[in-house]
Amino acid sequence: MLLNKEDLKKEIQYSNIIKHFDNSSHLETDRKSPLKSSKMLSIVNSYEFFKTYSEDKITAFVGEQFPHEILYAFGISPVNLEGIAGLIARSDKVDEFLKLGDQNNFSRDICSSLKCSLGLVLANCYPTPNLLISASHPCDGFVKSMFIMSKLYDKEILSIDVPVEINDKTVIYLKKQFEDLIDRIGKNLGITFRNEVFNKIIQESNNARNYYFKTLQLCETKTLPDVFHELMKIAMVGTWGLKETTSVCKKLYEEALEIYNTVPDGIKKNRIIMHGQLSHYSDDIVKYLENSVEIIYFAPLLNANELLDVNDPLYSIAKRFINFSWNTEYMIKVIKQTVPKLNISGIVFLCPWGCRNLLGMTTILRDTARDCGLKVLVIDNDYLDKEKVAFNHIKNRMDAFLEIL
Amino acid sequence: MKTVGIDIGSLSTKSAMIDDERGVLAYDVVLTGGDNRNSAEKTFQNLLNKTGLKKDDIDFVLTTGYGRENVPFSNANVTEITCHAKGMHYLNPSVRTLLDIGGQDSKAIQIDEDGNVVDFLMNDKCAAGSGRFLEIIARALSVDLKDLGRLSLEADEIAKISNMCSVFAETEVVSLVAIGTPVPSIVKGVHTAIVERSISMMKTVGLIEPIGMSGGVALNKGIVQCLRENLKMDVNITDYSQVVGAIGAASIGMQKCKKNKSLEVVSNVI
Repeated sequence: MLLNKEDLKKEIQYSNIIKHFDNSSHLETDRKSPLKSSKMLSIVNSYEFFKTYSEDKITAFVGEQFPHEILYAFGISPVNLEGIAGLIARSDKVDEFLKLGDQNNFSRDICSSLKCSLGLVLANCYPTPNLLISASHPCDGFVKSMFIMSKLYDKEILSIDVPVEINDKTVIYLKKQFEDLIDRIGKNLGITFRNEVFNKIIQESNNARNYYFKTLQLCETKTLPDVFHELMKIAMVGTWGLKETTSVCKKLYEEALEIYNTVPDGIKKNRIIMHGQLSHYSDDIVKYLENSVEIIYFAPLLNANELLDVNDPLYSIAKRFINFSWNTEYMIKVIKQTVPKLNISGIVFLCPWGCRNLLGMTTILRDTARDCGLKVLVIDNDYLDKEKVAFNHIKNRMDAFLEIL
Repeated sequence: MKTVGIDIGSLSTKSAMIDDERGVLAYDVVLTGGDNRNSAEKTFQNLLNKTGLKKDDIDFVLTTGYGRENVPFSNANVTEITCHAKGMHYLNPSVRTLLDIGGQDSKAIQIDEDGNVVDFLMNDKCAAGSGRFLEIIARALSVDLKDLGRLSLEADEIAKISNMCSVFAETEVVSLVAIGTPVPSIVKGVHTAIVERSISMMKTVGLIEPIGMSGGVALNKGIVQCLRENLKMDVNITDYSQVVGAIGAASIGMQKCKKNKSLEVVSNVI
């Protein structure tokens, strides 16, 4: 499993990824959101992703939950590997990357999200990162994958240890690690962390979240088509701190408000929470369930609860990071708060093959959901590797779930 | 009023006819084969032959199972999870936790006092723990499927069999035969593997007594005995194990039919 060092030029990598997108097409199940904010988000995402291929751009590989605010203060462009795996899942060429993982001794029981990311590296489609940053939670498999990638690119990997418990002591422990991380990034890359920029980014992050909260509140009492889905996409991308993200959140709020003022009061269908990994609209499961129920995605519910403290941003970033790294205690709290507020009837847990974290936490969350009076469905699913999914088997479970709802 | 339930499963298609006053009138089982529409028609015709009735005498046909949406003469369809719960409730209303082991899947279902599904869990990833698994094992041991229960009850010891994969389990069984392990011990080992997997599912949905079992595998006395031993609880079996889903379908059909009739009455009065 080797990459030819001669090929690790961003020009070649850019050409590789463009060839991929040129030769692929979206799956037939895709449907487009009519919201302008959705188009804005796509443009921002594309711009942010493709600028990482500029030779002079400093980039870092990170996971979905990593606080981008810290990297923006250095002028580093993050490459959110899990987010991009979700993007690739929408194309019909995803199999090529999964096969590359398989053919290089990556077990078929490893989460496809990791395998797809490694496949993209092996296909030399990602821009060579300047460094890689991993965290022990939510996914220890991700840490191992990052380690492999760091060897392939011959770049340094910086790691942080995320505590499981959340209290003042653990938050301070993580805050200290972020301070060390900032120091190490600066020394490693010879760049400066700009405090004044960081403070502006924190304010920008909060501005975006304020619009995000207000949009979520509009969804509490009325069905607003497509809005919750956009909230989920924004949460997945995680570009908090960019002015463009604030613009997207503001536009989404304005559009949601407009819809809110035109649609009748009340909720049209039973509401269910969708918990776990899934890819945008290309997922057959989402499409099938949406015929009968309104889907409330879990990620926005997590993201809706934390503003950053402008007086101690690293402390609040640390707190947010522990909570967002699939902290089960926090998830239990969120489920308990959400059920009465959003009038939820059921919950679907999507557990991909090979994701021990989701499978493990589902055991506990399932009990919480039942205690809250929710009907529960657990689906073994894989949103990337279609060979692992037999829709008819899943359909049978979904039909039974809809019957008991 | 007479209704028919047809349960089109992966291995067999089951049907049952019930009467609102006389209960179960008849039932039938045929192999599904490659054409589930044809098997549904065949078993429906068998029911009519057994009861001497005509199609027009049937007020409602409700289909269930994997082929439920593929039957042209069906009035409605419902999943087999709901149907098994209703079927067990129809036959034994006291049951609160039901284990159904069919041809390709097994389900643990928690049922409320009205026969509604409270929670359920199905096997996933692999057919190990299902009727097909037992078929493969019977073939590997060169014994008749229906003799597995008897053989299991003769076992002095339990051979250790993995429950991860039906194909690998077949290899294990062949290896055990090769080293002289008594066939009854192997069969009991296979039953134990299935039961252990099933109990995990039942405990996840919540093991509330009384316990019941349905599906074709409930006809296997060795499995039922093994389940009782491992649970240390009684397990209720009905005389209609294989057709509980079909009876449930007929029962739901009866409810729908009565509801439709009462709506007709209201409509006529108005």
